[in-house]
Amino acid sequence: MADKKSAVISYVDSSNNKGSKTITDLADKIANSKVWAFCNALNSLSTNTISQVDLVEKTDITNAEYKPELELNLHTSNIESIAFGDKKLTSVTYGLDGEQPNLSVEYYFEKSDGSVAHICAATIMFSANWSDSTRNIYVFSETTGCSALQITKLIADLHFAETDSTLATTYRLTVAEGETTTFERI
Amino acid sequence: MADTVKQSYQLKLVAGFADGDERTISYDNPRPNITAEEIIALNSLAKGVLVGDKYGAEFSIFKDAGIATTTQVDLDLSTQP
Repeated sequence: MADKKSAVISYVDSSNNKGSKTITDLADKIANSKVWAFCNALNSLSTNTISQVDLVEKTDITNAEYKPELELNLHTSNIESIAFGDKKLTSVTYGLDGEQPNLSVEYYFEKSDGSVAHICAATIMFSANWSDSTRNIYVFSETTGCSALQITKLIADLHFAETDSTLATTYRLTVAEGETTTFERI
Repeated sequence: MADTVKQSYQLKLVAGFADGDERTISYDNPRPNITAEEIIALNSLAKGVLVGDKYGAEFSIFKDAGIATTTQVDLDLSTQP
């Protein structure tokens, strides 16, 4: 009988300890992407954060084709407002670096009364110099249904679109005046 | 010092194969809120990936899933010379 593949899932647990799990007896002709999709789905049932999946065929380890989940890092964020009479222009700048992704983004603004207004959705195809780029969003308060000086926070849900839905990832960027910017996977 | 008690958790998935064989896959640190629907959804991703370890039979379904708890008491050995 032919040798079968194994997959070694490397992960970090919630206490930041590294661990791994070997899944043996995988079909030898199966596409690697199917193996990774299964491993990601299995890992999603845990509190672990997957870091790598290696495929093992006999004693050879091949991971050159492995496409890990998207990792984005926030390197710039700022929110500024300028009032014009009873209107307000809010400018939000953020910059991300990481593997160049295709993202669709949903923008929300939180108002001073705590309510959240959906602003717009956009599909963004980032350019090759993506890691150096920043994005600016300008919104007049009247377009959000807010009166002047009511916008206090930007929430941007960045959906990483992957053809295999099991690899899809959403990051939430929250930028607020006078508060710590947060950027987390949700 | 005193004895310490450690608890660990493992997800146990019992995979069934076309030849009637079964194999248990264990995975550490399961989420406490795993649903049956999530296990059922995993079936479609396992098809064609997992094969039986005897004859390479096709995966059929996950026949059972549960979270096993292991309690380990580490004895205090600090008093030994």
